[in-house]
Amino acid sequence: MNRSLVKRWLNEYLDGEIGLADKAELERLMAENPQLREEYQRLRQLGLMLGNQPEISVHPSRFRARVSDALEEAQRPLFSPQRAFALAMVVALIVIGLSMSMLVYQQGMLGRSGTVSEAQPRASLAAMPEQGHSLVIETGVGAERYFSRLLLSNQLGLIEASTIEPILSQTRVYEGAVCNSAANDPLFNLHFQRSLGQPVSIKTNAHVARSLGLLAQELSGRMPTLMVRSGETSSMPLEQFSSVYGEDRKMTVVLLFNAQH
Amino acid sequence: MPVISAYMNGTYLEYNSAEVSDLIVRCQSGNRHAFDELVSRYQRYVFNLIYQHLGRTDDLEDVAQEVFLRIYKFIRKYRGNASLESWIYKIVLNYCRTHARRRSTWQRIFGIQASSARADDERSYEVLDTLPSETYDPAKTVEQRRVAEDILDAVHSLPDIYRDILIMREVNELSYEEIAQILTISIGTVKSRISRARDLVRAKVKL
Repeated sequence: MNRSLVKRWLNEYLDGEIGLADKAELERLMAENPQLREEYQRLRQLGLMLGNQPEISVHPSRFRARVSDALEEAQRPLFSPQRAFALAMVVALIVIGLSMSMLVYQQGMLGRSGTVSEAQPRASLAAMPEQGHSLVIETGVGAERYFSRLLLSNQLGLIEASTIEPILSQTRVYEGAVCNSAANDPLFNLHFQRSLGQPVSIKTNAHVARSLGLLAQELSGRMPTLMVRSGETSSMPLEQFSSVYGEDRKMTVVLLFNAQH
Repeated sequence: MPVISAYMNGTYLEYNSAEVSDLIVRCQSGNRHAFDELVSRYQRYVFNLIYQHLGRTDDLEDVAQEVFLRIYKFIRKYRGNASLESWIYKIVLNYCRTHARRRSTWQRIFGIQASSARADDERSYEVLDTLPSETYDPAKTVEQRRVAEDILDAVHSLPDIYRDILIMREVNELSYEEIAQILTISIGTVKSRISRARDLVRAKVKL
């Protein structure tokens, strides 16, 4: 007898779904075969055990009330006064948030007007004619701060006169500048009459170039980017600069500044 | 087919009593009192089905509530092709599978069980152990209970397709035809899956 057929009959017999002819045949086989009878008993036991599950008793009205409340909640109109108010509050918060962002953005833009942004210095440099033996110093700070500190350092004797002299003689950056004492500024930052955003070009020597670079390093807290020729950066330490090129090596120094801050 | 004409044609009577057919028609027309009646009538049935298919769970009541909300939402789609009980069973089964998947995802991602367990006195239901027979033998009962729990654990560890069909047959004693209707599979598939499910459980509990 085919085993899979007998197995199928056993399952159908157990579930009361067997045909009459198959049932008679299976019962005859079971009467003859104790192993088959045992197999049937094991399957039956499995069903009895599984059927012996705990029963759940439900409170007659408590759950029904809960479902009813949930239905009320689900059917509440989408735009009830409470929901409309909550939605209006959310929209108002979004509008206020956007307005504040716009304001902050606009103030940031206004603060930068008339000066060179951080992304701009190198772009403005491109417009300048390339000169032989030039050194470009990306100072990393604003022009007002740089020139204020340059003058202060000179007055305090920290920077020799030869460093500031080319700037005084070749540029007009200090014309009309006044000490901003009203701002109670201990570093005596100067108030300049005109915008200092443009790159400043000075014909000087390698010694002065080194001093100007060191000032930029002191103010920005990092080594300024040096470009020996346009677009080509140099990682040479400033301290070595004049010794490599020679103290008196003539060169053009171009100072690049960030937006004022 | 409009609801009233379906009722008049006796469509719902093929698988339901006249009382249940009337209840269905009233629910389909949006009668909230009729739906309350339906909840009262089937809440015990639904709770038991959920308990059987999900096993012990703290959110039994939440699952049952969601099932009834679905019944309310979809009752208009009931066409009388099977008994209302079978139709409800199908909704329970689908939702239990969805819920089990979500629960497993929560556990896998956050390592916690998302649950809204209520205090016993706030619950709408109670789990009653089946009473011992008149030939009560404590030692035997303890052993039987242990075996029964092992079997149940084995059933709950089966893949969906075998676990659900075994519970439908062995616990709820549905016929092959009813199972085929609920699961939308052929009777041949029902037979082979039940046989395979029994083999798997027996292999696990060494019965």
